Amino acid sequence: MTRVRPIRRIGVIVFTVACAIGVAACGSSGSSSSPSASATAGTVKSGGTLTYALDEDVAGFNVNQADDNEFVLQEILDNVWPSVFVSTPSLKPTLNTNYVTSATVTKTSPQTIVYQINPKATWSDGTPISASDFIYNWQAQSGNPKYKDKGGAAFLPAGTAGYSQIKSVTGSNGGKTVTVVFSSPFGDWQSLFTDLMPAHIAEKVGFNNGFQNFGSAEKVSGGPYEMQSYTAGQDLVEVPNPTWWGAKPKLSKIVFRFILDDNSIPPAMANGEVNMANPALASLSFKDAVDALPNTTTDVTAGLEFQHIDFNEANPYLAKLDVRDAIAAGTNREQMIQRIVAPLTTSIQPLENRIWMPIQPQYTNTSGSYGDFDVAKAKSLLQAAGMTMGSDGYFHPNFGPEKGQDFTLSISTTSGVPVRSQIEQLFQADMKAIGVKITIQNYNANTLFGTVGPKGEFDLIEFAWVQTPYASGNESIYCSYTNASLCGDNWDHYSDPKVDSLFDQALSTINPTTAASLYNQVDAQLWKDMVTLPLFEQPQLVSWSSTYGNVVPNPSNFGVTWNAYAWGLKE
Amino acid sequence: MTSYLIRRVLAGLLTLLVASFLLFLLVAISGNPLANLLANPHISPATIAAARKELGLNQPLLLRYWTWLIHMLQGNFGISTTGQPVGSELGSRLLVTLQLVLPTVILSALIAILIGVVTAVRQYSVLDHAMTAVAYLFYSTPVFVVAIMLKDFLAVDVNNAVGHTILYTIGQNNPGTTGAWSIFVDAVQHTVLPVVALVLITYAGWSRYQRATMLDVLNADYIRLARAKGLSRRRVLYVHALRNALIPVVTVMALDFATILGGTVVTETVFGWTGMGNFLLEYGLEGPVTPDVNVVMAWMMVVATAVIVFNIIADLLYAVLDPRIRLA
Amino acid sequence: MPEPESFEDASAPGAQAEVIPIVAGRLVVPLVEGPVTASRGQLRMAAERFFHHRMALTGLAVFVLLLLWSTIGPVFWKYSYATITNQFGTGPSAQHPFGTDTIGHDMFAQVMQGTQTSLETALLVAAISTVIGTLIGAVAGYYGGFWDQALMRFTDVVLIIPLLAILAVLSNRFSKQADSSLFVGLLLAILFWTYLARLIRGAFLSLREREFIEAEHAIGASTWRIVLRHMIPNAAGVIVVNATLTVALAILTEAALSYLGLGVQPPQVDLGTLIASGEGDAYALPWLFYFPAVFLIVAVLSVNFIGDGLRDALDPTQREH
Repeated sequence: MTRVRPIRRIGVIVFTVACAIGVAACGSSGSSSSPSASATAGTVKSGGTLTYALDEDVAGFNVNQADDNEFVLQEILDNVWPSVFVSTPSLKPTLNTNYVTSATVTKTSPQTIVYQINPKATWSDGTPISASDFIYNWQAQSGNPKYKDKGGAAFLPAGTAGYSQIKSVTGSNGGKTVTVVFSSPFGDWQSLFTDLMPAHIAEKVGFNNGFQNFGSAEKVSGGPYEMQSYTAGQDLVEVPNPTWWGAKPKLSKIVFRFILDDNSIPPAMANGEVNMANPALASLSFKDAVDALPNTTTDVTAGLEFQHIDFNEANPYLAKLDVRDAIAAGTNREQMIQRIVAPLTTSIQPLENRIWMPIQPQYTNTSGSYGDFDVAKAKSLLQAAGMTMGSDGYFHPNFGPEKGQDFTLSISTTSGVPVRSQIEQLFQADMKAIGVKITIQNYNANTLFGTVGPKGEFDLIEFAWVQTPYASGNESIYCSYTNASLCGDNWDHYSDPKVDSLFDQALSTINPTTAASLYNQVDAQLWKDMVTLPLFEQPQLVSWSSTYGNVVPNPSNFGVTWNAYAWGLKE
Repeated sequence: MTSYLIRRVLAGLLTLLVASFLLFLLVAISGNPLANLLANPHISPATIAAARKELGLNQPLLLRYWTWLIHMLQGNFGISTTGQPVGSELGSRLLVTLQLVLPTVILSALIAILIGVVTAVRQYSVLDHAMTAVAYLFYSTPVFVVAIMLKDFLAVDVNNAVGHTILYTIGQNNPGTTGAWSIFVDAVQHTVLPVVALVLITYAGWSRYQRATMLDVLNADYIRLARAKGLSRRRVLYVHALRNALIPVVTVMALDFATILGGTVVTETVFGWTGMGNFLLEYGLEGPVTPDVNVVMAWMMVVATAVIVFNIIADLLYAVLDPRIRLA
Repeated sequence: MPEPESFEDASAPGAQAEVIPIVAGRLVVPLVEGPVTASRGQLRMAAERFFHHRMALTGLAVFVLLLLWSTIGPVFWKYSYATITNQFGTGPSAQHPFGTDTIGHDMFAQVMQGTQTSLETALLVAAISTVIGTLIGAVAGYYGGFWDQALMRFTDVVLIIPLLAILAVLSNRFSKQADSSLFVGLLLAILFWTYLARLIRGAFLSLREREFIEAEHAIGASTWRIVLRHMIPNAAGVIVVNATLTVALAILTEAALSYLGLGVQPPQVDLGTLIASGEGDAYALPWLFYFPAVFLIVAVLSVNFIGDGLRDALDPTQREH
């Protein structure tokens, strides 16, 4: 289909800590050297260009800002804006010693972290990377009205998780030591200070609007690559940063080519116009097409993205738990998997947890019997909710606006996306079998995510979340909708004080095992409340020409470019 | 002649004005541009109020239209909601679309005239029947089907046969190519496939028309007279018949230039060109503020103006080429 | 728009070029160029000529077959287009003559339904736009003068509004309609009538100067009588041929819109949406692309043949030799 463009939003969800806080060596867990050490597999030549097809153009260049918070921009900035901790493909947060030589928790109460910035770390315009960058990035994303953007406006960050709990950030030792003190404990602290923006530039041009168009602000880099040029709708070119102090990157050019129509990508790969692709929603057609290409490696892994259906509890029927449970019981998730994703990769099972994904060790099936496919149970639940089966095969409610008529609900998703449309059609057939009529009403992505979703103008809505390996960001989706500032992502008119208090506990728990179990308790309650129905993980497909080495797909929100500095043409 | 021209231009301007108002109305009712901003919980009421003021939405419709009109007449097409001035963006996109449209028109015209004349002269021959069948086939095929087949099959097969990429399927060029000759070659390589797709569809109709007009002319009395006078067949054919047969066809082609301009939207989509079509679909209708009034209105005005300009050109060509028609 | 001030000028050979409608990317070759007389006896002759035209007959047969198959077929066929069957991604077989798509729809049912939507929408567009175009053209041509100028200027305005742009702009509103094909059809109709209006206007302008019309005036016949019983039948050839052309053009335009995602919305199908969803499968599951594409081409081709035959039959002076 033309114009496949689901906008992959990076959920502002925070990394899980795989190691215990309080252990001094924790900050330099496992691979304490820069992540590239674990990535290099074979030798590659210097030089060459790689063209990576992105199926979305960027809306702006500040990934920390509410409007620009997109996956494709994150991939572009992986090698330009410093991140203290990087998620490797195994989802382990790894300290990037090119930037920070150590990050230690010196005190647990109040939680205090001390970062030692690498003395060589400098922005490409000569300004050293220092505590002032940390301070600015914190203030901009803290959500604290005390801090103002250029011109006195309030900052508009994509999310404030974690930063809002920092009390102070101070520099010492010439700005190379940063001490962060928290006002309340935050377990996922390693998720902080990713995508550090250059404070001295951001202060001048402004956080909200200063990175809208490509200009000199964007050319300043703190990473192995720098952005050289950007042609809207066409491409963005990165070249090695001449002032980079770490291991020199191999490729002399990385071209991010914007190709919005997925169907154009396989022929472009066949022609060598494009060397790498990572479609937002991989379909069987795409996989078949790239499988047929010679000299191409294709990797399909389930990652941190999952499809789900939300129930709008403002709808008088969906407000009843029995009705929601009935719909869940009537949805044949196995069949969806069989027809939509199983041809891509056979490991996918129905998803039984909204907060943890199967590739994470914390994943537990918290669904009890709520996730079982049972048509008879669905029908009896609908009867219990106050409906009678009509002669035309559909239930007729005995109450509410549709009293006496076919029980009808609408489902919405982004238009023009085949995978989502397929999910809707299978769902529609499933619902017909249990006596519920479904109408399909799709909108373009901007309208769906901008208006329809947030305003609750839907009965059922289907879309995907791309998680980061951290769990605390889930709070804004499931905490009580009455708390508008914190729970802005709760579009379902859902509220459960038990969930709210569990989240509070989990977020301030530092021990990762305890935190994980608390989050699982949250999810178990979410199943009991049947707030949303998780469907299945969406596998990520990355396909690249086999002439390139050291390409390692990464299911976290860093994406496949996480180690682009190590890519090169094979010997 | 000049007075006719002036009258037509004035009429055209008036039409543009009325059309612009209708279009503005249409865009205004098609959605609330602030919808996305309103729904975002992060955005304060103050920001929304500022945006409303900036877009002028708190003013009555007529006043907004008037403001837009005044600006446009001064050459200011406004700023799109991504912050880019619409005018310069439009300019570069128009050039991109022209890169597609000009070769299409020229090639289609040449092929159509050639085939039309030849099949008329050799009426009922095998060639005629074959060309007729082919023309009907292409005439009945949607351009996106042809484009898809070229992109998915022909490109890959040709490139494989040659050994390296000579036909490109994405975009109108490889940005970053340096050197005038390389840029030219690169542009040609990108233009071949979409142009072929459009030409196949366009020449078919034109060639039928040319054939029909040619036949009319060949059978006309004054041609028979010329033959009777003993003029060589060739002279008859080229000098008299063709000239007369070209008149309506050329006019048709001039009119169609504008049609093709609007119709390249599909081709640009299939081949990923960043031209006018993509501009409307991407920026006007899928941007952060939907619809982006400045972008959509500017686009409509450019296309509408092109249509009117080429209609006037067609009028003029018609009058100039056919001395019997005197425009009163 | 180039048009001679009077149709008399236009009778010379190789003369007038006609107005070409500005619609999304299709050239419509004006196959009829002037008023046609078709009184009763000639109607019979026209019918005879039509039925001798082999291509037209074939076209008619094919089109009627397609129409019947797509509208009546679904009643008898074992699967509905929305049914999810047990097989998915399978090629043509005895059980599924056109194969199945990746989630289990029977393609035979889908192509049938898609053809039905495409044809029905196109016929609707042709019907409505013909009525509107004839009315407006008739009024302009018959009354001339102020009405003529006003209506033709109005036609100009509509003509320059880019069809695709309007539909794209309104597409957000579409998605809320359950029956988007009806909406698309109405919108296309509102923009397609312009071509016919100009033709009719030209025909009427010329016709009203003819003697028999003057005679009718002389005996005091009412306007309606003149228009309905004399002028429209005389312009019938033009109307019919162009209505047919409009069907072909509407099928193509509507498919292009659906392909771009601006027309019919899922789960409704038409040949455009089927081609769009089959496009990615052209490599591995080619039947998902080729069946809808072939049916689309055949449908348009058959209508074009019919139009050809009608033109030959009704307008011998413009015979397609």
